Amino acid sequence: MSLTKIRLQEERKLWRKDHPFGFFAKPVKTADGSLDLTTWKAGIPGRDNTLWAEGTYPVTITFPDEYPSKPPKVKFPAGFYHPNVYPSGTICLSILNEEQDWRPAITLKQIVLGIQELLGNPNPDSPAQEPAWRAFAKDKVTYEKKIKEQAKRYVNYSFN
Amino acid sequence: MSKDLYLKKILGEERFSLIRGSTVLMVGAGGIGCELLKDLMLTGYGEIHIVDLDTITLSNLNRQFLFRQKDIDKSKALTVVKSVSKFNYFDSKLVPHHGNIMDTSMFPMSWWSQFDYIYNALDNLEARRYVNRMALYLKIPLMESGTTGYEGQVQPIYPYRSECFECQAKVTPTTYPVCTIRSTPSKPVHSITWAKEFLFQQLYDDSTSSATDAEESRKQLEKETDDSAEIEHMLRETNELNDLKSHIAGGADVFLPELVEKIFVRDIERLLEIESLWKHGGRPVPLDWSQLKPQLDSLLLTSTDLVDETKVQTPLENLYVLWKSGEKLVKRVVSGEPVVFDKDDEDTLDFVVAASNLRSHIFGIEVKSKFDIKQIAGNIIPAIATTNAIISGLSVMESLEYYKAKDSQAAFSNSSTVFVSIKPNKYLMGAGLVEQNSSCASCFKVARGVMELPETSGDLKLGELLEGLRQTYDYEDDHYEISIISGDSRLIYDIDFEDNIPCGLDELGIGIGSTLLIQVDEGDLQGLELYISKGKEFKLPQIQLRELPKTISEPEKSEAEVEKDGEVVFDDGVIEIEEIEEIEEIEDIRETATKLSSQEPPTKKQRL
Amino acid sequence: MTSEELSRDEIALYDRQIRLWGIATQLRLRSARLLLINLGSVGMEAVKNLVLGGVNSIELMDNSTIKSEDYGAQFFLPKDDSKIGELKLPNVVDSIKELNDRVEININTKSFDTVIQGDPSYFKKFDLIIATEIQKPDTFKLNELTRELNLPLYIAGTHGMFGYIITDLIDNINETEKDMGNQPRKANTKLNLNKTIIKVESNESTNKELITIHDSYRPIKEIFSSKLLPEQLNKRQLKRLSPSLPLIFALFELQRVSDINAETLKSHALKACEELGVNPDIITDEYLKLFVDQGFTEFAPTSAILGGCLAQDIIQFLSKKESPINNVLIFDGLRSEMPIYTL
Repeated sequence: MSLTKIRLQEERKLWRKDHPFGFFAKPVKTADGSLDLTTWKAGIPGRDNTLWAEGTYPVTITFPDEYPSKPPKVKFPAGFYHPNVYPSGTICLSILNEEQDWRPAITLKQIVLGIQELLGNPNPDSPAQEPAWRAFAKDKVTYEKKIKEQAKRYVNYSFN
Repeated sequence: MSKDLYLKKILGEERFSLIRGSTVLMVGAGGIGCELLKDLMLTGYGEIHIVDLDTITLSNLNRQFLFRQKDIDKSKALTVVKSVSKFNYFDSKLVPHHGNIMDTSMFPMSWWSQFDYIYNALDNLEARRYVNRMALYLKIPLMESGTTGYEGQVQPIYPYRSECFECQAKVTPTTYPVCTIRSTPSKPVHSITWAKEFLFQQLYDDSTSSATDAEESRKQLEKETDDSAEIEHMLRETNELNDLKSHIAGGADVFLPELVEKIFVRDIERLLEIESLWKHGGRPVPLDWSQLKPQLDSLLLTSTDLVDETKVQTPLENLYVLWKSGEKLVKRVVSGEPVVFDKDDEDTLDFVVAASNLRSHIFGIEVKSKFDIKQIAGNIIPAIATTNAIISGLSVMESLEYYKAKDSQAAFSNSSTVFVSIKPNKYLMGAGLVEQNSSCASCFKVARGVMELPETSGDLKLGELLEGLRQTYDYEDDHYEISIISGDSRLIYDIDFEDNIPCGLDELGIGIGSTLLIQVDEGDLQGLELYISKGKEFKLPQIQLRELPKTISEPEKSEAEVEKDGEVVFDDGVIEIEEIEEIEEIEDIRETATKLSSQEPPTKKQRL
Repeated sequence: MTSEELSRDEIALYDRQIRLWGIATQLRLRSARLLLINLGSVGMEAVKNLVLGGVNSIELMDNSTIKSEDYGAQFFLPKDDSKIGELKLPNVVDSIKELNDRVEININTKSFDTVIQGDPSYFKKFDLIIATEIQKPDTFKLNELTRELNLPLYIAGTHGMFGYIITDLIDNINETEKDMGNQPRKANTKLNLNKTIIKVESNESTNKELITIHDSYRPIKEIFSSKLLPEQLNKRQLKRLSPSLPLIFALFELQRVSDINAETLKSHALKACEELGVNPDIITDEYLKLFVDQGFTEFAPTSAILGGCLAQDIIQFLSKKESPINNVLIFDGLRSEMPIYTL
């Protein structure tokens, strides 16, 4: 749909003009050399002074045909350790849920900032995976250890 | 006296001769199409092209009066033209096309440009959007129409003058969260979706998933899951089903008892173990298989015909139907026949009906008749001859203004969007046309035109295209930076992405039938969408791009919210039922402006 | 057919409409025997829809011969000029039968006068009568008879882009299910002068109300001299009343001729305005000219629209589910309006 295309290019422009420090986001390159505006790779840095600080975490953002009526799908790599991330890597965040807080006006910048916030402040009321959620609720020591290990794996993460 | 006496009296000599000389396109030869073609021919249209990709089925015959029992499985477009020849009193030239209207090689831009007027008689959103876009490219007036049951609507579209088909948001089909379908169903539709889209596909349909691409279905499942901590349970279910599938080869006697025990007993017992799911009730009760099995066995010996379309059946009867249809499906799969769910394939339908009813029974959900389940599983929209006849008549009637004026402005002022909606004091509701929606991405924010390119598109480099665009549309003079998107979402150029400048367009997958969207980076200049058509040489259309009105944070208008405001999906598209009242009110208010009294009539207040 | 159930074949054929109006309605249609007097363009449209819908039988009564101008809108005619001048019915009946072999189609080529004067009991074998394109004296004569025999009657006709349906269904009780509104509907509410809600059963759990409506009708003779219009329309509505109502009434006074005298039509229209109690100023020159040109002409889109409404209303009436037209429907193709008045 025209609306989808126009909006996606708008997002790209907005991002180019203004994006938060340490973040990156771009559409993936296709076989014929064009950029697929419906699939983006992005990197989300952990916030300073948190367990996550060391890493920059990769996400894949997929925009549906009905975007911006419907929200994009955002995923970490499968098996990502966080209470609100499903085993598949899908992020459980209200602003990404059509039935909850998604609004068409929400920009890419707001989405990645929202995810950065979620990293350090999990929502205990919407568990998405067993290990991280259990540890977060009952075993903070293990939880912190796992987070730090994971952060090390994503130090200096970049694309290509 | 002559045959066209009445037409000349009604339309006037001049308008009638315009209509006689007119070449029009009718997209769709189904419920509305059959009626519309009759009306167009009897109004004397000179040349009518008919496009449809469908074939005729039995359930069409209650309203598509140009088809007979003997025509079943034949092409609608071809059959309809043969059928109407017996009343082609004005010798209209009829040109049928059996094909998909969105096929750009069958229907290139040059083909579209021959039409003076387009009549839509479609039943799906995608094709409607496509035709709307083509009408916009070529500035051809379009009559949009749709019906569902007793209701229907026609909307005349004058490109860039009145609202286009996309100016108002459309409802998209509801999807159900995976966890509801797989773990916590609460409505018949959940059970039906489970039976059709999960169980049936997993077991029989090789075209969508199989043991080999289990990883793919895992991904699919995870992508869809938004609210469940029991993903592992679901994956286990699927894997077991895949294992079970390999037992199909052993025949129905082995496979079916295993299937029933697994899906209606074991899986349910396991679900019950996840306590968190049942906090708010809705606990399922596994099928009492040990008790039902002997009853089923003795029933199977009697070989009764238990299929009754309209009755709600007992669990035992459903088991029997499951068994009988399961046996046939197993045989078909074993013989190597591809099996996909089709509402008109009785075996597949019976299986889905029985399986969904058994699941509903287990979860304490209302059990439905086969007739009702067919409607949900097959996305069937009720349709009747009368509404289609009325809508088709209105479709021609409302287009006559165009032929009277041959001027979009006058036609715009005198045409109406008309709704059929039966009330005690009226049968129709009309509303004058509304101007383009200034937030419409299809007709307002973007201008459209046709760019010509020789078939050897590789000769043109992206750099040359850019140069041409900058000069033709004054992007350069006004210091605009531009971006180019090809097709639906492939960015081929912007200020930050200049890699492709030396490439030929063919290397970038761009050729005849492709579309390019050009937008400026800064400023409020309209976007430009170009359709690439075959020509002798590279040529860009002359279009004056407009400045868009300054808007403050435009996207704030949520389409999702608009959608929720009482829209009803039509066979054939969308109507804003709630707003009809409003339109009428507005119309009334307009009228009232010069009046003192605005008292409502009693009939209206008490309208049902 | 006497069985009280639909066969599997019938369910398959009528699938898309049964999903809308249910099996009970389909069964009622299957037992309905109809008579259609005069098979013109609007008659053909109505017949097409009713045959497709699956009524029991339709008898067509028409003694006219095929005229060349009939080809402007009558799609059952054979495309063969040599048939002009022949009786119409024998030339169209096969095409009508082809639509649905479950429906019995009979033809009667006697004249209306012969039948009504010769054997009024003939009408007794039908459940409902439809008469199209008939003039006032015949309408009254027929209506007197249908009243006597307690038969529902539909009158319909078109004039180019205009048309009408007039009903005398004598007395009708129908039940319809509606979503609950903001305020519950109440029994003994008058919906209009002839329609009254007599019973309401609410179902809180489904948020539905089962409403029983009583429609009472008056003889068509009274409709033409009705004074009820000003009672049901406010000033504004009276002023913007479509001139087609009095003009259609005026055409009932004229012979079906091809040349209509503007002055004669105007004087009848003004008289109709007076009868109806509406301002004669609504008869504009534009509308007068339209009716002079289009009076008694047939136009396929109009016939499709009006024939669709006519058949739909008959189905509704037979189903006893929805409240039918009570009692004058006007179609104005110029304004895209289709008001229903209670006269």
